[in-house]
Amino acid sequence: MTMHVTDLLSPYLDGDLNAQQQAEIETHLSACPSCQEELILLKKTVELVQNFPLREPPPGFLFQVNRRIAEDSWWRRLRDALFAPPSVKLPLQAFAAVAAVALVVFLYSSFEKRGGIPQGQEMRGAGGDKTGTQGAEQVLSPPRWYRVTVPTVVRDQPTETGKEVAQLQPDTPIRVVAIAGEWLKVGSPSNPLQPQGYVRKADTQPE
Amino acid sequence: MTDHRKREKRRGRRGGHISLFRLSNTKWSHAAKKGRAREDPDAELVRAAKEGDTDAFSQLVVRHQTHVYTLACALLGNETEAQDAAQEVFLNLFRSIKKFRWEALFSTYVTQAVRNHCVNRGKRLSWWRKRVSPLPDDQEVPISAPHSDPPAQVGYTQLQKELARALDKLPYKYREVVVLYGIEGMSHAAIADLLGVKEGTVRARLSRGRALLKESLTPYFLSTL
Repeated sequence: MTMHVTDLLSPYLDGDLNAQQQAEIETHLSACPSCQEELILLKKTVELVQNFPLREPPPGFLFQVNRRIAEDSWWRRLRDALFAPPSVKLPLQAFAAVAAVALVVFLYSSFEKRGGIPQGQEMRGAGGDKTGTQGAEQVLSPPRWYRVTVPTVVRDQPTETGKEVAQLQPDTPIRVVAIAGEWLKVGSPSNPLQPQGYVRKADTQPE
Repeated sequence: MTDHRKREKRRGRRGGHISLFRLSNTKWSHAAKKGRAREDPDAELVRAAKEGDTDAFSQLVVRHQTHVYTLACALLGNETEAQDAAQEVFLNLFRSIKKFRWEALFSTYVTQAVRNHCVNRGKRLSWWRKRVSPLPDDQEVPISAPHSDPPAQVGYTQLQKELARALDKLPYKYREVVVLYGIEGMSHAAIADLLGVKEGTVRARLSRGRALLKESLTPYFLSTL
């Protein structure tokens, strides 16, 4: 028996082969039940496609078409011309998505570089709402240790008129959390022994 | 490079889109166009529509709506999509009708317009169903019942649903050839011209498409024996 002729069955059904090929296939089919079955199934498939029923559009179709035509305007045409073809729209959408991701990554990385929170937000006027005369308060993160060089006092405000909170002797270590001009903000929320307030910077030196 | 190859490459670059009113690169003589205009049954209505007569265009819609809707259903496998596609096809035809020069019969251009509109929509739908939202096996493809003889209607409807499902599974390049040849009754040469490919390619795709369709339908055929 010759090779199966399944690949030629489609043109055979359409009468698309020359006389010799047609005769060869018929000879093969007469002796090959497998190809006969293939031919029957293919024939059924082709008939099914040819009998695909006509579809009537739903009621109101003409009305909807006419409405779309009535609503049509030059700017809709321009919009469709620019954005409707997927060959234009899809690359644009892809570009927009990539740009959005790049923007998010850029913002996140710049945020990280600046230590989580932009420093400008941490710089608040030390006396802004207290005395209004002092400069900006620079937060030290992490806090630094200073040592008192001369007897001095801790005041509740970074001014000479501030209320005295505690007295410090020379060689006393102090934990400085911020610098406000000529004053050091000292204290530790977790250590009640550390005095809370402001010390003159001139009376101390960094460790 | 041959003219055919150039044309295929150019169309490929444009994502399968070709101009709405350009069937092929053939340059038709004025006499040929005039002759075609005389034999076209839509000629009077097209002429009136070209002059802005919306009633004439509505009559063209009524004449061709079944053809357009059937073809869109077969190509897209979904009635909602087909309805939207058919409306857009007519809107595009209305916008471009002034450029119509009878390089083919109006009905041929309508077919071409449907194919061009459905090509990307169909590929997108296939991609979506394959990767994002496949149709469950037990879900019926929403194709309405055909108007056939009442005694045969039940079996026929089920068969058509199976066909719609099998067509929907077919890769788009095979589906369009099977549909244009089997449902539209277009010749190999006409399909080749429409798609911008060689006739041999059309024959190969038709053969392969039918074979795939047969594979999908065989379990159903065998169960009904």
